[in-house]
Amino acid sequence: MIKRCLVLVIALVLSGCEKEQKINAFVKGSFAEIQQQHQGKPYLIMFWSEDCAYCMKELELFGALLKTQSEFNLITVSTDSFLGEDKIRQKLASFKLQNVEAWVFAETYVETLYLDVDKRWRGELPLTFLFDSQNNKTKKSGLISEQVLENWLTKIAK
Amino acid sequence: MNKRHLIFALVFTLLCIAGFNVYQQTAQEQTASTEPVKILAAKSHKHSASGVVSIDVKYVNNTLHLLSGKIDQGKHSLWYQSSQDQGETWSDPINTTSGLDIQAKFHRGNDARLAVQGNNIVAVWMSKKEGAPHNAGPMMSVRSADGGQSWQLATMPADWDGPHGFFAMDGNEEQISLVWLDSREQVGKGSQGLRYSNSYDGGLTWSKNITLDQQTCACCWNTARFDNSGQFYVLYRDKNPSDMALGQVNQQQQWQRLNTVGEFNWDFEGCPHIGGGFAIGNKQNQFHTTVSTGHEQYLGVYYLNSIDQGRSWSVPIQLGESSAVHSDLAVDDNGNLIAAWDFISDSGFQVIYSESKDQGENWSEPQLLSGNDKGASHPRVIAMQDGFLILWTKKDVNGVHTLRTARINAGTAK
Repeated sequence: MIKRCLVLVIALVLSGCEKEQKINAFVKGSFAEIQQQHQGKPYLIMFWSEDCAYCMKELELFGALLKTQSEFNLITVSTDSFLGEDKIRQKLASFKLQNVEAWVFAETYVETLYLDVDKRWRGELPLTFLFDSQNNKTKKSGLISEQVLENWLTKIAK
Repeated sequence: MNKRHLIFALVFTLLCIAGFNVYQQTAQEQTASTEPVKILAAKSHKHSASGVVSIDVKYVNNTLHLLSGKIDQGKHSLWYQSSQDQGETWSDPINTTSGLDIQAKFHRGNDARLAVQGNNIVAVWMSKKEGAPHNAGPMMSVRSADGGQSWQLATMPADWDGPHGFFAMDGNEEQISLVWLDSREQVGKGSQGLRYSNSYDGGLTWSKNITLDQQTCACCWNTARFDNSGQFYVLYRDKNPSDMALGQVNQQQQWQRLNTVGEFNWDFEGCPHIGGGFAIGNKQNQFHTTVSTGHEQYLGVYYLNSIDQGRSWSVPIQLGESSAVHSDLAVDDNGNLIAAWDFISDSGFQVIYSESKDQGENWSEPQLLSGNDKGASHPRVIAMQDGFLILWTKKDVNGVHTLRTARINAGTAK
């Protein structure tokens, strides 16, 4: 009985120690603020949707990459304003991305966020922005290739 | 220290550690909030859609047939209405899915579709399957044999039980033909194939499925029309590159991809969610399209026409600005054209239209249709006996979608 109680207490304590991934609300101005927050270190901002098969492939690619690379931060933004936070956590966790910074579109008229992010973005996905430590931005519309990623990683490693 | 004391001490220590963790977590969040970057919206982000989230419309023998897909308190349903006076008044809505528990996955850009063959009317839509990739399920279908008065669950046109979507359907006096996208044979990353089936008995039975194009865009709506001689044309977004293309299923059920419509050479591995509009002039037998591209150099919506049944196309004429996204068009019996499209403004999607009186050579100044509405998108255009009907949906701040319509008489635009 005592042993069981101990096991239960330890399990409760350990579960309390695990921090739940925070899902931030992405509104007008968030894109600029993310850039402000991360300047000085290379990072990627990736926009995705659960309905986008290419996005799933790209999330998978990033999940695998982050296992071996730690030189950059990944920030993910779900464009599904209707998606519950738990679903976003589950989806990201399925790609081992449970520890990355996560955001979700939180405006009623999500298309206004397209303009806020990029005047020439009309919602095509995936969309990825690569920033180096000098905050130089490279835009990649569509599935990012491993070659593009490798080139960027080589560049930021210099 | 006896065993009991030891256990008490251990539990106390663990609780202290847990308490410290909770304190540390709270402290980290407080620290984050005082840094230059603040989390702007603390309230829930979730915006659930409700109201009219899917529309399709056909004009057959001077009757407008309207199919509206609705979400009410999380429940999906499909409603049929008709109009004998070119959209001035509409019949009472009839719930085509009454008594059916439909878990649908329709939305603007992947709308439920209908087709008319005499008194037979068929509707199809994508079902929702929780846990499946993208929660996408097999198509479902209902049919009416009495001009839309009563509806029954109908045979599924697909002979493969995976998810199907992005339907386009049309009917004539002899048959109803349907195309859709599915991934029964995957060719390349994230692509789907364009499939076809037809029915000669108003949706009671369907032909063996034919693959028209093995590799297409996975998420763009298709548009399909019969011409007067019974040829079935499909406008769809191809792959490699992701430009639009037109193909034809002839009366012998043979497929031919006719040509690319707008050679922008948009090489895009992703999900554009944008199809096009297609209309056939009755008298001139001229084909008209609106297509959209995301190519950085040509971003926007374009009009093109063909005088040789889709084998070659005119030079694209841009409609609106680069912010134009979803479009449609129609041509009346006199060759007047109306094109409508939405564009992204600072306050959200808005709908505008333009008119051409010379077979698409020149277009009028675009006129705003959606007024002060926000989230007004995905216009559809129908040519009628007298004038045009433009339909679109708009969204209010609570995420409630509403159907809007406007009657436009040819020759009124400046």
